Parts: sequence; structure tokens; C-alpha cells
Amino acid sequence: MSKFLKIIITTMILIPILYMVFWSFTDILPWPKLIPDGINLDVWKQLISSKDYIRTIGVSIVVSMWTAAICILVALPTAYAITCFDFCWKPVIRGIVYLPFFIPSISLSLGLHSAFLTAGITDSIMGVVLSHIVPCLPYTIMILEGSFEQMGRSFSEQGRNLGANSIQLLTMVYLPNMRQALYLSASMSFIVSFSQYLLTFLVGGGIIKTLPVMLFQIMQNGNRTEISAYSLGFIILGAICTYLIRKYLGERYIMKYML
Amino acid sequence: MHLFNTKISRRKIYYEIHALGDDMSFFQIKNITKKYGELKVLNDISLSAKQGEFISILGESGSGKTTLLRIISGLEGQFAGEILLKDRNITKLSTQRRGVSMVFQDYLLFPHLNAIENIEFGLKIRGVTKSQRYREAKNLLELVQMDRHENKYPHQLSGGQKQRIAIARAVIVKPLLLLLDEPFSSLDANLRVDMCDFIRNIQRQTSITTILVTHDREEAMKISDRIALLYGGEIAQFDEPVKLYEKPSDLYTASFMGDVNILAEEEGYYLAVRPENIRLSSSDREGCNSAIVKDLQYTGSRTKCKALYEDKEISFFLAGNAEKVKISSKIYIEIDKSKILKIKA
Ligand SMILES: Nc1ncnc2c1ncn2[C@@H]1O[C@H](COP(=O)(O)OP(=O)(O)OP(=O)(O)O)[C@@H](O)[C@H]1O
Ligand SMILES: [Mg+2]
Repeated sequence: MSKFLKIIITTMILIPILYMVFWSFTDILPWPKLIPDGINLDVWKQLISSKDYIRTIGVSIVVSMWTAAICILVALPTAYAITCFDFCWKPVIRGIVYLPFFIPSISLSLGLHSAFLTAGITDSIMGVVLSHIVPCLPYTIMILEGSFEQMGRSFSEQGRNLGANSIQLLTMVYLPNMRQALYLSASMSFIVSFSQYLLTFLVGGGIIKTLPVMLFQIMQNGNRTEISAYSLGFIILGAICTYLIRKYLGERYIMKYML
Repeated sequence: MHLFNTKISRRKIYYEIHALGDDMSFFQIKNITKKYGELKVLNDISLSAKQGEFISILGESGSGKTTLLRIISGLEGQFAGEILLKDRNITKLSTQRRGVSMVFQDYLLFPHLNAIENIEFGLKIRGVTKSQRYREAKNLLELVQMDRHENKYPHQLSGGQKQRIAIARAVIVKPLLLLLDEPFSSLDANLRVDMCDFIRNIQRQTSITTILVTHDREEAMKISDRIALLYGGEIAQFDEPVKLYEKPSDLYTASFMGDVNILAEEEGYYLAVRPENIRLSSSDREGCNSAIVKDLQYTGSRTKCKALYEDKEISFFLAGNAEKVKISSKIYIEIDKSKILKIKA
């Protein structure tokens, strides 16, 4: 039964992707054919040689990397404080942190846009990154909080008893045991930022063009072959970046150098 | 340093060895009271230890032993009372600055560090250079007889081995006071005995003033200079093991420390006797009494005999398998009158 389910689910995921692959190589696939006759590499050639596309990839990666990095930097002390210390404002802080989960993304985006306009930080990479942090941060904090919670207070007590202060505790006791959670939360915020359309479009004002913004333009103007190729490119890039984050945050020696 | 025997000084343990000091006030807690909500876990506890002394806190599960250790180590706030250590009032000091090391019930070795790195932890925190802390950790590793396991990670170590590493890690920061919370509780019976001797040895060699928490009276008696028996949040008695056994202050202490046969009750006192002070006798001897055997429990080296004596159930020991004594038969016993305990009711 579970094997059957697995097959169904895999097929459901794979078939659309498979068709995107087919469509990216041809512009006709007449019924009842399931597999295209010939292969046409025009769109792929165009895609790889397009300076605009390469630049957009660059911008996307820079924006998402920054978002992920800042999210981790903000989330780490927040999650640490929420789980490991007692203070009276805890429920309030928690509420604020998780608020973006409960606000519809359209209100969030429009609100942020008008706020950023007032602050004069629209149309810039920094503005886009800052706006991405809002929807990404709750995920990051949630994952890290879970990780702190899981390790519990005993290790913290043991560390303090041996003389460690709060910072040493974080860097010498908690962080080295949190590789999994760090990788998870970094890739989570990377992916959420990577696929963020509305915020980027509004705050970036069309000047900061990331992959979703570009995809959207192509969906409006382009043909099916182009759309398939660009979407595939998006999926592949996302996968590669997540893999790299996992690989490098997952390595023990990197953690050792970082700390 | 001349008190060192050569074997130890070769190992370069950097502890000053003190003979047991006479100063009763090296470590003192005064009138500690701790409540969790309505529940009064500790009620007006006072204790003291001489320098280099080995104290055990003995009590049933839930009697507040861990709570007391946590208060002493500075991990538990909100209590009444005072803690003094080496002429300092440490009541309000943070756990980092107390000079009190605690070994927790479940060892809590850091999973990302191997054995020697775990031991080094406290020195790393204190900014000791890599080579220096490695040298000291290595000495301790030898002291706890774990030199062959230097590079193993906690998940590759057995319970007893983790225990040793945890002790070394606590000792390396040269604490004024070492606290051990039930160090034997998760070890099997044979290992418990070894660890008991082992801990006593380490304590003698480093001469760190030590407080051990346990619910096992035999371990406590074997290992301690003095025992504090905790009951109902109060200290029932705080004295040398022999005193607790032979001069118990109340019935709880008397029966916690071993079997006790109550012979009579008079004027607010119980008259009682320990099983080893009852002997099998014969009818023709003067001062002997008759009893009826109710039950026999053979345990190898001796047999525990339960009998009815003047309408009271008593128990005592017979050597070996006591072939001649049969259940329901009449026997004669002799009670050592000089060893009768007078216990407050
Ligand atoms: N954080 C806490 N909040 C409320 N009650 C607590 C807390 N910690 C301990 N207690 C209660 O205090 C009492 C003493 O607990 P403690 O852990 O000190 O016992 P113990 O003597 O160490 O027992 P054991 O031998 O089982 O380890 C228990 O009744 C326990 O339920
Ligand atoms: Mg306990």
C-alpha cells in the first residue's frame, strides 16, 4: 500500500516536470503523441547565452544568500533567548516573530512596500533583501527554536557550571550541535526568498529583477517552450543552491572554522 | 606536597593535598528552605563540611537531594538561606563563579566533543592554551584510567566510561567543592561497586571536598566520612556512618540504615536491636529466650531468619544454610543487651 502511494506521489510530481522537459525541446506535441519527435535546442541556447538571464540569476542568488545569512544572524539569538532564558516579554516577542505567518501575503507585501517607500529604500537590493527577511524569518526562528528546545536546558546548565558565559554556551555548546537545524533554516529562508515574486516586484520596482520576476514576464509574453525552459532553469538552480548550502553548512570542519 | 606518594606525583596532579582540616566551616549551608509553589521541598537544611571531607546526602527518591545539589551549585534560584564556601558567601554568586563543579545524574557529555575535548572544556572556557590544557586533560584521563579512549565520542563510550570522563571534566577546573548526583544510578550492580571504590580513590588523590547524593545506604556508608540523611525535606541525622547505624536519632534513621527489631516501647522510646546482635543459642544457656521460626531466606553466605519473639516479629542472621533450623520449630535466641538501641519514638 505504502509502496503504491509512493509510486503515485512520485508520478504526480514527475509527470509535470517531465512535460516541462519535453516542452522545452519542442514547440509542437500533437495529440496523441506523448514524446516529441525531434529535439530543438534553440530556447536552451538562447537561455544560456542570454546576459539578462545570467544577471538575473546573479541577482537572485545574491538576494537570497543575503536574506538567508541575515535571517540566521537574527534568528539565532532570538531563538536562543526565547528557549533558554526566562523574561517577562517572551509571549510578546514570540507573537511578533510569528506574526508574518498569520498576515495574508498580499497585505504584508503592500504594507512593506509603502513602508519602504517612506523610508526611501525601494528599488535597491538592500530594500528587497530587507523585505524578504519578513516572510523568511519566522521559518528560520521556528526551526532553530525547535533545535534549542530539543537540546534542552541541561547542556546549558552543564556548560555554565563549567564556567561558560552565554556567548560561549552558544558558540561552544549549542551551535556545534545544531548543524542540521542551521542547514535547514538557511535553506528554508533561501528557498522562500528565492521564490518570492510579489515583494520583489513591488519593492524592487522592476529594477531589481530576480528569477521569479523574470519568469512572470516570460509567462506573460513568451511561448510555451520558453516558459518550460526558464521554469526548469529555476528549479535546477534552486536545487543546486540548496545542495551547496547543505554541503557546506553540513561539514564539520566548516563549523570548526566558523567558531 | 610531601604527602603525595610517588605514584601520584609522577602523574603531576596539580592539587595541593591537605590533610582533613579541622575547620568545620570550610563549606557550610545555613537554613536552606526551598519551595516549588506550595510544595516545601527543603525545610531549614543546615550542613557543613571540612576541607577534603567526603559527605553523602542520602534519601529516598523525591526527598529533594537533586534540588539541594542544584542550590549548592548555583543552578537553582529563589530559596531562603545561606551558602558559605572557603570564607566566602556564595549564596548570590552565579554558578560560573562559585568554584563548585557538579556531575549530573546523566553525565551530559557534550556529544560533539570526544573524550579528551570534553575534559578540556572547562580550561578552554578559561582561555588556557591548547598544549597546557591537553597536558592537564591527559593527566586526568590517566587518573580516571581512560587513556585508551582519548579520541572516542560519547556515543562510543559505555555508561561507566562516560561517568569517568564526566568526573574528570568536573575536576579539571580544580573546584573547591565537587558535587556528584547519583553517580551510580545508571550502572549495573558490579560496575557500581567498582565505581564506588574508584570515586573514593579519586577523591582521596585529589582531596577535593566532595558531596555525593545517593539513595543507596550501603554505598553511602562505604564511601563517606559523614552522611546526611534527608527525610521529608529535613535532615533526619547528620553524622558518621557508624553513628547513623549504631546511634540513630529516630526510628526513620534506624530503619533506613538497616534492619531493626523493635523489642519494646517505653516512655516515648523504642528499645530495638540490630539483627547481628541476635544470636542463636541453646535452651540450657542463661538469659536465652525462645522464639518460633516463621521464615528462612537463604542468600549463600548466610540465611536470614524471621521469627516470632514475645509476639513481635524479629529477624536475624544464621551462618551458612542453617540446616538445623526448620520453619515452625522452636529455637532459642540470645540478645546482646549492651547493643540495645534506645530510639526516640
Ligand atoms: N522544577 C520543579 N518544579 C516543581 N517541583 C519540582 C521541580 N523540581 C523538583 N520538584 C519536586 O521536588 C521534589 C524533590 O525533587 P528532587 O529532584 O530534588 O528529588 P531527588 O531526591 O533528587 O529524587 P531522585 O532520587 O528521584 O533523583 C520532588 O517532589 C519533585 O517533584
Ligand atoms: Mg535526583
